[in-house]
Amino acid sequence: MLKEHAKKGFNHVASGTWKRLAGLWHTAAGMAGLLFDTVYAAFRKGRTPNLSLLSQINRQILYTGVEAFWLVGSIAVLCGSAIILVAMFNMPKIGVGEYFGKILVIALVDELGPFATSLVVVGRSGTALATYIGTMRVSREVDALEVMGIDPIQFIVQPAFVGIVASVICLNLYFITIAICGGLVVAWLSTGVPIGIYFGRVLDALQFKDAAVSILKSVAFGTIVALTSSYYGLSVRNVRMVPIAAISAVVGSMFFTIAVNLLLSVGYYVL
Amino acid sequence: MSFNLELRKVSFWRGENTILDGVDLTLPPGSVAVFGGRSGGGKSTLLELCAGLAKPHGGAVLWNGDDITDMSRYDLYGRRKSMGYVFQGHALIANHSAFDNIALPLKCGGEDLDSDDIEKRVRSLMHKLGIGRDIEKRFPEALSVAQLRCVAVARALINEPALLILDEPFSGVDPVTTSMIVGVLHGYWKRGGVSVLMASHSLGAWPEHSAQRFMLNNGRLEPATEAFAKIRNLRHNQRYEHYARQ
Repeated sequence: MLKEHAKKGFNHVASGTWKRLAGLWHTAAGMAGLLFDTVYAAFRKGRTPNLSLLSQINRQILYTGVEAFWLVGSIAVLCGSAIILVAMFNMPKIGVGEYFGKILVIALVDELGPFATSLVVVGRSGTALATYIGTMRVSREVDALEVMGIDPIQFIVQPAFVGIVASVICLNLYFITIAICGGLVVAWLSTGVPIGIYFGRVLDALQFKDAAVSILKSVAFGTIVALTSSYYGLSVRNVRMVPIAAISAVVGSMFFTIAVNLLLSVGYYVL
Repeated sequence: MSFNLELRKVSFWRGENTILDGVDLTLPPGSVAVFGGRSGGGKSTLLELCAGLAKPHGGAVLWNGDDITDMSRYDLYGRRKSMGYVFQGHALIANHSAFDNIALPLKCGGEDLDSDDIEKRVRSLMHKLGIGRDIEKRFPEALSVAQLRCVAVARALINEPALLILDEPFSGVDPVTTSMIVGVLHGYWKRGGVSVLMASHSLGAWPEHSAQRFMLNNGRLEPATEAFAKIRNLRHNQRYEHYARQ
């Protein structure tokens, strides 16, 4: 009896896992298709020169980037302070106190900057974008664009894509700057380290490849957020699917962001 | 530019329900077809198939002789620039003002128009449809049903399309605005070469006697006279049964 239950349970878990993996593969394939369409739409003949994409990109940057400045700034100060506090108190105990600059660069520039900003953008703009596109589908605005001969990918996805990627890059740089400055305040208050030495250590540790990896991650995470949210938004068929699209956009974006972060880190440190 | 629309044995179903069952329709350039039918009977679906927004499960939809069922979406976008469509639920772009909604097809039409030309054409059409300047800056949520209809009709006409597809363009609109919309549509059609396909509960809304009139009955498109005759010949109590069966 117990064996039968265990077998049943195992089959249930196995089929559930298989379904999830298949769904994940399906989503990844759909997003790859959407990425191709988005890039192709930018270069294909017959694209609409009069269509003001710039105003839509500006709007997206306003929603995603500018309006997130306070939130990202606050998180940056808190994160930078926490990291430097932990580093300042623990690193001297193991005799590597002079490497706090390197720790700050690895933690903030390479990892936390792009990741934290992309999580903020997922929470704020990913859900908003999926809901916006989903609502457009339900109210037949996407169909209306199609019958006017306007490619919805060119009209909706492309500006969102450009706006979100640009915003994540800018927010990342802003996050790193604020976090390092926040860390400075904590370092100065807790250990009285001089400002010159603090910045000297951080700038000595900062290399071109750290900045390049940080920006590369921002581009990758921005792309993931924009494409995942657009993909789930465009998948909406009725009004009941709008909240599901918003949830799926957040979960999907977070999952793919973490997975790609790991892949990029492996590429950077291992290869 | 002319537009020849043809439906050959078009079938469409949702789950177990057959929505359209072998529909044939030919709409040569310059002709008008108006069709009615009960609510939920497949009128909007038929129009969507004609515009290539949905794919039929059987049969073919031909635009100027070319089957669109296997056409790439980029080909469809190119050909749809000579099409105007009024949706039943207006489908105006929510973050665009009334003016921008009407101007949208011009901005995307491929014609190299400057902003003055666009403004001139939009204002001229707005004037014909009674859309005042006080309305043009409003967003769709701030417009009444009649105003939404007028803006939707203006958006469909602004590009001077060769095929007009109208899905219940007068529902929820007062008689005066209805007359105005009919007048503008009819005036545009009389210029010649324009095909009009309209779904409406009021088959007499289109004034021209030359319009083909149909009823969509059980997924089939029948000439309106036959459909009406069938119902007229039934006795009073049989009519209820007839509708109950449907």
